Amino acid sequence: MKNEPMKSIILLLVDDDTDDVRLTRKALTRKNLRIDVHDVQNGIEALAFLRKQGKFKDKPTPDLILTDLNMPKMDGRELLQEINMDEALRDIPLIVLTTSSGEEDILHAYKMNANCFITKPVGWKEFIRVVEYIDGFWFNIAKLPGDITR
Amino acid sequence: MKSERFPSFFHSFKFKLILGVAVVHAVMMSLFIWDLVYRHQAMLLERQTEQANALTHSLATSSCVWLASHDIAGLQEIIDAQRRYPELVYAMITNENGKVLAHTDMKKIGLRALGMPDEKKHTVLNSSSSLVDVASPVMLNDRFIGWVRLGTGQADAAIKMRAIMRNGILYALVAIIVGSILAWLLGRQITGRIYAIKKTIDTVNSGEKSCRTGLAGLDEISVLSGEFDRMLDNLDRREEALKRAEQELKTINENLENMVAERTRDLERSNTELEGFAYVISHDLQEPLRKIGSYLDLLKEEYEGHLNEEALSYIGSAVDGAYRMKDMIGDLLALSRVGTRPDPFKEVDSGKAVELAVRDLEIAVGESGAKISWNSLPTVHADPGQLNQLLSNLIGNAIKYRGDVSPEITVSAVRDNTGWRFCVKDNGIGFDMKFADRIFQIFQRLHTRREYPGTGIGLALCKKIVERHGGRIWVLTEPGKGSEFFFTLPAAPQAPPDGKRPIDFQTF
Repeated sequence: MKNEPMKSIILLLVDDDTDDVRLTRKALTRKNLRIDVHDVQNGIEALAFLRKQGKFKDKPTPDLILTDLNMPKMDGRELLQEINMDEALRDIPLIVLTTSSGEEDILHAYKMNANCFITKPVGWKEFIRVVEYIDGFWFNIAKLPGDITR
Repeated sequence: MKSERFPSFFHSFKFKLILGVAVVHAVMMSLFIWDLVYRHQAMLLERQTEQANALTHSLATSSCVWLASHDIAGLQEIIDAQRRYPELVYAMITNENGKVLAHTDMKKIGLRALGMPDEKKHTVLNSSSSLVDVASPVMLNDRFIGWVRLGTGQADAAIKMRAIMRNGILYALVAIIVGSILAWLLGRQITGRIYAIKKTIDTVNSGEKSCRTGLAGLDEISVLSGEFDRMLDNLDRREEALKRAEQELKTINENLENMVAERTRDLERSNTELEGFAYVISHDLQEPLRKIGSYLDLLKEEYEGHLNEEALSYIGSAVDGAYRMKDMIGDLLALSRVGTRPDPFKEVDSGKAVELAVRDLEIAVGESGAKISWNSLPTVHADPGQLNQLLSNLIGNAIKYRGDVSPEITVSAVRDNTGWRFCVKDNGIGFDMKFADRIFQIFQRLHTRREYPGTGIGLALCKKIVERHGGRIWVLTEPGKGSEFFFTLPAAPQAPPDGKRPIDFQTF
């Protein structure tokens, strides 16, 4: 990978809370400048983004999805279900990043083939640490399906 | 079937009655006959002896002249004249020396008579039913001149005796037969009534509850059967009452079951609500809190250079508050989960639980150099996770509130009536007993956060856990003398055997 030219990693952030989006975006781009973060407000928008519908028709396919669970219109649980049922979308790695630590939410997420379930930590420093772990593992260690298709 | 339920004839009351009457009759009649024969015989013998005496006297008198004159022919004539007595066996006259001068058996004349009496007076030589032998001296002017002797038998009497005996036996047999027949009739009357009662019992037993003996009369069995009928009436009434009570009980039970089901539904609903509440705390309250903390941190990080010392200190206080609130919410959640997220009770080795708690406290133990000891601890009936939490909190407190010396902590348990009483004893700072109740209340602390950090929820959690196990928790302490925390837990083989966990009457 080192020999490949620098290319940005596309990340889709699904969260209705703009404050949180800003925090996550800040944390993600703090060190790693290759990350291209796109954000949408809920499940419906996320599906439209992934399927390149409407105003998202020129958007790229993300390498990784980071989604919250509690959102209006279509929440993260439904989104997981939709993605899991869609052959074209189910191979995109998906991380649940939420304030919930409910057992049912955790079990449901893994049942819907989420790759990872992370509870948002309370402190900023903790949050930075978690985001750096995500960055370090998914964008540096793990091979993503996007590496192959591109 | 009848032969099984009724006694055989030989075991029956009737048979015993007949046998008794027959034996009594036979014995009594035998005695009577024997007595009769004996008396009759004695009387006959007496009469015969009297007759023999009279005859001898008369012979002695009549033969006196003939003997004196030695008229042998005359004497023989007198003897022969005695033959007309049918009972006479023999008769003889002798001279004074015992020589037979005349005899009913002529061949004996001239012989000497044997066994004559020594004294010259009237003597009964033998007196038995077969022979009465009597001798009488013949006296002439007070001079002894010879003997008259005769014997009489009872050939006729023996026949009479046999006749009496025969008749007696006949009477006895008749008496036995008549007695037995009467006994049989009496027995039939008694046992017949007893069988009637028995038949009634069988009929009632086979389900015909209204059947009664209905025997009339004034005798004991009639009275008994009347009482028996009354008893059956009472039993009927009681059974009916019992049935009614059973029905009522069933209705009450059904109502109770409905009430329990309703209560359970209420409780389940309230539990669900509580869980919802816990979720609200965990999610909705933490969300803004997280944001406060994060943005304060971000503010500090990005604008540290632009703010003065005071502004940074304000931010520090705000961050501190946010983190503390986070801890409290976390503890509140843990407290609510004691009731809303319980595991079922099972047998837990409390020694292992202590070991596990000590391992959880590894860092604190290492830092403080605490010595924790425990002897053999029992198996208890508990929620394993909660037991572990309880012990962790108590041992953790014992380490945390230590004095100047390194902590020495002992965990022990003794059996009491209801289960096990545990004690966690330390040599720490202790406290005034007037706070003994307060320390178990939520967010109640005896020290500032600067002295000892914490949210003041640990012991409230302990209390809740112990109470959920149906136990009690209390403390004995003195400032500077260490503390002893006691709690009780149920013993191992107890609580619901069907594995259902008890309903938690939980209030938040």
